[in-house]
Amino acid sequence: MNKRGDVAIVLLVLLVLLVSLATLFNFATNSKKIEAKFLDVRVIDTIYIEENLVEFYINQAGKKATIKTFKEFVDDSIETYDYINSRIIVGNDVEFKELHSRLNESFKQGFSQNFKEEFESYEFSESYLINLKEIISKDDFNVLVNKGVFQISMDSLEISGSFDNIEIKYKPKILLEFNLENMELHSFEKIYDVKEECKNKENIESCFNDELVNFYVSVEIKGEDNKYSLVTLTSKKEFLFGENFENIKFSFIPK
Amino acid sequence: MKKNKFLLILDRKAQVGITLTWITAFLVIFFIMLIFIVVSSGLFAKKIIPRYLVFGGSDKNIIKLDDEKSIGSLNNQRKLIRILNTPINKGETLSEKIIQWQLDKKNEEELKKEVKNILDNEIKNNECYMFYIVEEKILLISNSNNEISLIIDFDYTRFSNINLFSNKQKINMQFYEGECL
Repeated sequence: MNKRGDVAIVLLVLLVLLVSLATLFNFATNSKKIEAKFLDVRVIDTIYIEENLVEFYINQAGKKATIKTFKEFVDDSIETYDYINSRIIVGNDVEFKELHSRLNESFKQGFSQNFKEEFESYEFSESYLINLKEIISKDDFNVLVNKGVFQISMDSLEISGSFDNIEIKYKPKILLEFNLENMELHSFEKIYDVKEECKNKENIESCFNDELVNFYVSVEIKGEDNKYSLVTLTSKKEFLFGENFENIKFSFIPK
Repeated sequence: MKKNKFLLILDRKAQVGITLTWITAFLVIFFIMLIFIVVSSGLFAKKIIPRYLVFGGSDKNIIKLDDEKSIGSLNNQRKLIRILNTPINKGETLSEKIIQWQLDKKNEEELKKEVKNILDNEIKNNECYMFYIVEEKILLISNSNNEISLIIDFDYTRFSNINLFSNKQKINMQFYEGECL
């Protein structure tokens, strides 16, 4: 058999092998360098700054909404919400026997509405905050209420940042909690428990005072024939409503 | 003697040999290419580099922060949020105090004093700060010489910017903490 072409072809095959191995080696080592080069910390920094701001503004609106909702529940002039189950009026005062059966549901409804209204009044120029405003106005967030603790969560917000030619998209999981106790108020569940504990005690005022540390408590004995105690709770802290800072004040007859 | 044309066509020994070698070579090259594609795709997807391929280095990707400057603005922002949530008295936070002041415009000096106390406690001795309520033009500044004119020396790229909202009004605040220049 004629073997004149063999040397050249074997050389060609070896060269192809060499080129392939060299390319593989180059690819493997250089891909690492490129990755380390484009991951600049400033991109991550910007994303975190935006996430912090989102949480800050939600926190600001959430706190105001929590306090406003609490006030709406204790305000006699607002009939939409109530913390007392089937009100019984004695004179000008109201008896507090049981907590409203749908307290948490209506709390959730009131809080969501107030939170939305509060956030819609904020003016932003940054696109991610405008997106956040849109998400909130479309009710694309979840609210959980349990024993005076409000929880807001949302996962549809997308924050994006770019640096040179790299674009990073990030979907933060926002979860914020607002506790009435931390805002210097008390949950209605706690007020109810204290009412149950103190209603038959001789010194109602000191009993309430010891338990509800975020309120000033005053007790007034009222009625002529059928005497009753009217308990008035006034928050120690003043809260912003409209343009004024005011205390939250409400009264009930413990039954 | 010159060969007959017909005899030349019949003499194919060399051509058959070369063709057979080319077929084998084609198959070998084809499989080398195939292996190349498979291995490179695998490396690309996983970004795994065997240690022995990296001369004198680690097989982990390393990201180096060039200096403290790159994380300055994030630190400033976190500090500003902490400062705004600092309780002053009766459970009132600094942000509430600023909103209250913005509404009634009373006791500006008291507000400045409160803010200065918080800033002096919060910020390390060797650092300088600037706290500025933009709309109300309240400026608190600390630097090596305590001279307000030195404000131009601050690194504006590291400023933290936050708004407080009260009764549909916006209060813009700027904060900087860093080297005294």
